[in-house]
Amino acid sequence: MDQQIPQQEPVATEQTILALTQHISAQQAEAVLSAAASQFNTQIQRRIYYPYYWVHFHYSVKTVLGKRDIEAYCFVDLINNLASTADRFESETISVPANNVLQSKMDEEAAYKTARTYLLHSSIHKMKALLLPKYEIVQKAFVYKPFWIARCTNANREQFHMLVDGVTGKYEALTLDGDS
Amino acid sequence: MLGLPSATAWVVIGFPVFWLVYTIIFLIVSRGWKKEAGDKEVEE
Amino acid sequence: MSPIVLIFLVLYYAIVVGIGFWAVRKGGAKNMEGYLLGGRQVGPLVTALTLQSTSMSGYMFLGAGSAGYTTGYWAIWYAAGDIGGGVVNLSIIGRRMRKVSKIMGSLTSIEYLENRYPHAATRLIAGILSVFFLYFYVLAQFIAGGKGMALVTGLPYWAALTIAVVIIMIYTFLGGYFAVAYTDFFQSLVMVIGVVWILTAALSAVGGWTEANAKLAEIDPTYLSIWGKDLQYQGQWGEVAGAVLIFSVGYMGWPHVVTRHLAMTNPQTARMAGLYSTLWNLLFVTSPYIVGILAILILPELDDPEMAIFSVAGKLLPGAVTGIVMAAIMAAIMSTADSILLQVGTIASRDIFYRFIKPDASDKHMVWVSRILILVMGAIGFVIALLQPPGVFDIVVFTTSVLGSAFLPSYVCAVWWKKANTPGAIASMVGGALTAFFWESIGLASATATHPMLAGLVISFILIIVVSLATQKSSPVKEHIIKTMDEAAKLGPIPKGMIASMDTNLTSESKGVSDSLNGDK
Repeated sequence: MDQQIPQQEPVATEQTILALTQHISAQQAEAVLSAAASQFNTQIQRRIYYPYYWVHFHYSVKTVLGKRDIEAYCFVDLINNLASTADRFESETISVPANNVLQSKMDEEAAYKTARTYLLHSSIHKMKALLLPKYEIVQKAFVYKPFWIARCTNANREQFHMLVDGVTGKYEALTLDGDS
Repeated sequence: MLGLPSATAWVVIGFPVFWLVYTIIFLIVSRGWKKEAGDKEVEE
Repeated sequence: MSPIVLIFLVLYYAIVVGIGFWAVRKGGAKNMEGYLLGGRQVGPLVTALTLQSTSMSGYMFLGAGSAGYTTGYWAIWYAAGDIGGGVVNLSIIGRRMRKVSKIMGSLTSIEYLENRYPHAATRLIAGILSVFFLYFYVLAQFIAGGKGMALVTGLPYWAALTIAVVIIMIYTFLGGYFAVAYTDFFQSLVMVIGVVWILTAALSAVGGWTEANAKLAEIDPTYLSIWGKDLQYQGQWGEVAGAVLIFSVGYMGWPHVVTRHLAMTNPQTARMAGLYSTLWNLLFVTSPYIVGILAILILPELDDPEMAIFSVAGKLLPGAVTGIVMAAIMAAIMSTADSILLQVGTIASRDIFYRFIKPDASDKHMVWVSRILILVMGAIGFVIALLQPPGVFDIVVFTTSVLGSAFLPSYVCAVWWKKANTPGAIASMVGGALTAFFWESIGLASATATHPMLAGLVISFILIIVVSLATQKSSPVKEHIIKTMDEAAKLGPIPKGMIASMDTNLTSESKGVSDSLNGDK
């Protein structure tokens, strides 16, 4: 996996995807990690796009206080089949090297089912009302979120990899074969 | 103290102090914990 | 109660409903998270107060007061554990447990147990135990709501209970106004001020704390003893340990419900939750116990010790204030009852019905199952609360003992001990629950001078260790679970500060990326 930064390679195939707008550049990602691990030399290795299925639900629930209209953005992680709600986000259509796009492990129907079940689960718990929300789908799409993969090495030749969220700059450790 | 038997006074004063110290130690140990905005546990 | 109390009670509800309407209006169509929890919009103080307000159930106002009133300073042991509950939870469950549950993708803690200890029996047992005991807790709220309503309105208990239960049911089915962060905040504020006011009024009525203790000693010096009235627990450290453990670690056995959220902005730091919780508990958790103790002097002839706090409020506070504070307390009780009923209903439908009886049930079907179950449980609860209401304190202590004994060892070992396997967990859940359940009734509590909570926990821990070790060969822990635990524990050379600031919300993405890249080669 330790290839050189792919942008410098001749690009084989391009893929057009809808991606969340990147807010964290490679330099910023590197800076975030360097600040947290100052003894390590941080190097951004590549950018990958992580697959989600996004459903924008508009739903309404009639409560004692009258009708409530709510927008809910549901994201399904297409590799682990996990749903979550999300904030509003910006997106753009871009062309990226196909080998930087992680492949989904689910089809659209399964993903939609996960999203809808999750919507029910979270609406009951958040609204605190045992009501089946009336919902309509405003929009749905496959979206990809940019992540940076960084390798951190130190003088003792120890190394680890980090995954940096290209939208928020938050990070989490990767567990790659060959790390110390 | 406070007209309480000493054992009672120890418990009444001691526990709050113990938990305060525990909390402060936890705060020091967990320095750098970031808010995990996604974590909302409904817990009654 | 005087008409002034009633007028202000009604006025208060009018204001709260008004805030609800205003929030709905102002809110319009909004993002679900922001609208309902308001967490990121309303700031950390409001969030902290709103979250903590879930602890303000009927227990605080009836149970704690009654414990103080009947046993004197012995009740402080329970408060002592309760103060630290929040921070203990936060610090022990910690990062690793969150990470494991995120990798496994569990939405409820029952799902989590089944993912970690894979077997249908795990889910069935955990589901049934949770439903059964949470239901007891709902019963406690019913009784608290009925008693409070009776006191405020002057209606007989049966009528007041009916009103309270009907209101709780309406909220559960139709959604009340409580899910709005602003009303919750307003409510918590009123209750905090109310409780502090009651405490201050009680202290000044008895001439200060020291003076009160002197007077208590005149009535019965053992009220002041840490061993309980008439020194009934003298030297019984097993009882003391149980009392402290109940609310400090017992809560961890409660089935949690998790919702995930993907933030699109940089989060602010809220590591202070532990501090907020400790400070809040110092003020709020101990007060009801102390008021209960002071009530011995203020209202020596009280028929029902559970009414200690309400009665002190009625006697010492101005009518208007009593009305407002009572209204807030009642609202909190009902809101707690409503959310636990919902939880019971969804566990029953999702974890038991959907999983074992009808796996192809539609969403609509499942909601209807929950509704019918809740209706049936509400009816049964109403009858029990009407005919033979048990003490709120006893119910809550009992429920927490059983849930804590059943689940705590399995939760803890799920993350920290790789050899913990399915038979071990099942033995521990069943054995722990049975021990805590029967300990008192078969007389072992007094024979061994040990609290059911302590006994249950010890038995439960022994069972998970012994049974897991004995069945390692026949039921080894599955490869992917060990891998998940390794992943959660694996840190390599990553600097400590960096580990602390990593974001477990990215755990599943990190796993997805790692798997893809490792597989690529």
